[in-house]
Amino acid sequence: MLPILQADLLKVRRKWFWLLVFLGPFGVIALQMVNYGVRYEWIMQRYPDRWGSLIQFVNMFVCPALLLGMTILASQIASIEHKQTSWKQLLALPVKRKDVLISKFIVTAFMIGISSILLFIGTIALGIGLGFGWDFSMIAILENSFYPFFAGMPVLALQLWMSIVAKNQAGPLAIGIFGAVFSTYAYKAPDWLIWKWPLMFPGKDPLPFVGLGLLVGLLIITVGVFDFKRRDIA
Amino acid sequence: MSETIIATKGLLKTFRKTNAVDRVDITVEKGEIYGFLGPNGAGKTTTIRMLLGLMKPSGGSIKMFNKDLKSHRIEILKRVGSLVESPSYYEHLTGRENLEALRKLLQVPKSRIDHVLSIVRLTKDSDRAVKEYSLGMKQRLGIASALLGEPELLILDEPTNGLDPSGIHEIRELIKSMPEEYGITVMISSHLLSEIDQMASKVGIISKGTMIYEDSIEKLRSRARPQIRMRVGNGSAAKSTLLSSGYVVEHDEEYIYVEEGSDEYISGLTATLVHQRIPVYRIEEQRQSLEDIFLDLTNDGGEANASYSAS
Repeated sequence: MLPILQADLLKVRRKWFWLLVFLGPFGVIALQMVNYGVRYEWIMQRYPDRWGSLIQFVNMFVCPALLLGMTILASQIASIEHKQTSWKQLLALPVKRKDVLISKFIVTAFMIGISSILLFIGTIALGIGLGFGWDFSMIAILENSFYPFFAGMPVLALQLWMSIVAKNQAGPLAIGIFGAVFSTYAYKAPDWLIWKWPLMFPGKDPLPFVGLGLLVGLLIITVGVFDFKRRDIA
Repeated sequence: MSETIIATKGLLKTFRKTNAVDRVDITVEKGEIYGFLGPNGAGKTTTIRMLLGLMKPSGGSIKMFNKDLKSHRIEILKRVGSLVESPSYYEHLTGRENLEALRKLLQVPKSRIDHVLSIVRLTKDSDRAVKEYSLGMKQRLGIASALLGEPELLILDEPTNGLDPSGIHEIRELIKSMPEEYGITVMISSHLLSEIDQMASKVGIISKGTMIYEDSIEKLRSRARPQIRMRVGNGSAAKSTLLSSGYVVEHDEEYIYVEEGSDEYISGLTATLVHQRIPVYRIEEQRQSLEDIFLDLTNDGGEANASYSAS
């Protein structure tokens, strides 16, 4: 497994993956910089809980940015192999198809994980920069930065599976982008829709969604492995 | 003592009810260069994909190194290097990085990279991005990739497709050297007999999914029946003269064709013509080229198949 991971990390060189990993959390924080910049006084009056409201504002854009990031990364990492029909070379090597798919899943999940860390750091930096002081709930910011990532696992698994199986990336990208946009309006949508899981519902315990996310993510990637194994590589 | 490297029995692949590969038996012995021939769309690539575990056969069995491919895939593929159709590469990486990505998967020492680069003479260009490579260089990189894991068997699908004559020559020399220099058995597919003719020790010819010939290239050559062609002054007069003298000939305008080519036969026949004062300008032997045999074979196969499916 380790050699495949190393090879995958080598292949993403010069492909701007890491820029994307940075751009996601940066965009989310930058939007809040604008938000606070435009109406700082009003927000301060309206929301006395400075750190709490900051977290909630940041949260508004985490879910769509996360789903968009997953969609693009999954498509990109699959495209590396699609481009010069490298699947036939890769899979004619003594490697297990299961490991090939799981390695790509781990690499993309790792990248989203780094984005989450950047989001965590960015949130704190923004609050300090706005002069909110050091008196904040580390746990709340950690939850806000990482829970959506865990709850979004099913979407990552689904996007990766679709991107690897489909030669033409238009389909997986369209579904992924639709899901990301849809998620921003999905507060009232039924709970079984995986695209709404990364939303952190105010006043609702996020933990069931996190647990369910990890579980269903694992389930989807397992189904994906079985499907990938039985396919003919053209 | 020869050892069988590839043995397929009744290999079958069905796409939407048509048999792309129809009960094909292939036997490749150690140290051979096996030429796998067939027109485009005959099922060569599909067969090769099955040998590499990229496609699952609909029926039949594949044994490589005396092991069943289905149950020992990883073990077998460790001993196989392959280049399937157009070369696969990561164009945003350099030649060396491409090999490094494969090397990590094959888990061979780093020194192999320099070794295979020197075999295909790409050492100088190894640190350039592959997107800047010419087609010939990409193809050579593909061969380097195939050689990276020190394979015992090399499976090459149309490795000279799209190359210029010097590129073809270069690749051909490289492939020819494989069995002697590295002890590698080679299976190479092509739709051009002329290309295989100069390398292969054994040929398999596939047409419309069925294997129509599998034997040594010498046996194939011996199928080339020589024919004597004579240019004479008066074709029809010559033919009737010769027929009345008991010689079996065909004629076409001023040419006389003779199948039987023994010395006595031809000298007697010529003497008859001269006696009858029919001028003889040329006597020449015509050999059917391998290309002709190939075309005959693949056409026959086509007709046989057509009548088979009609009945």
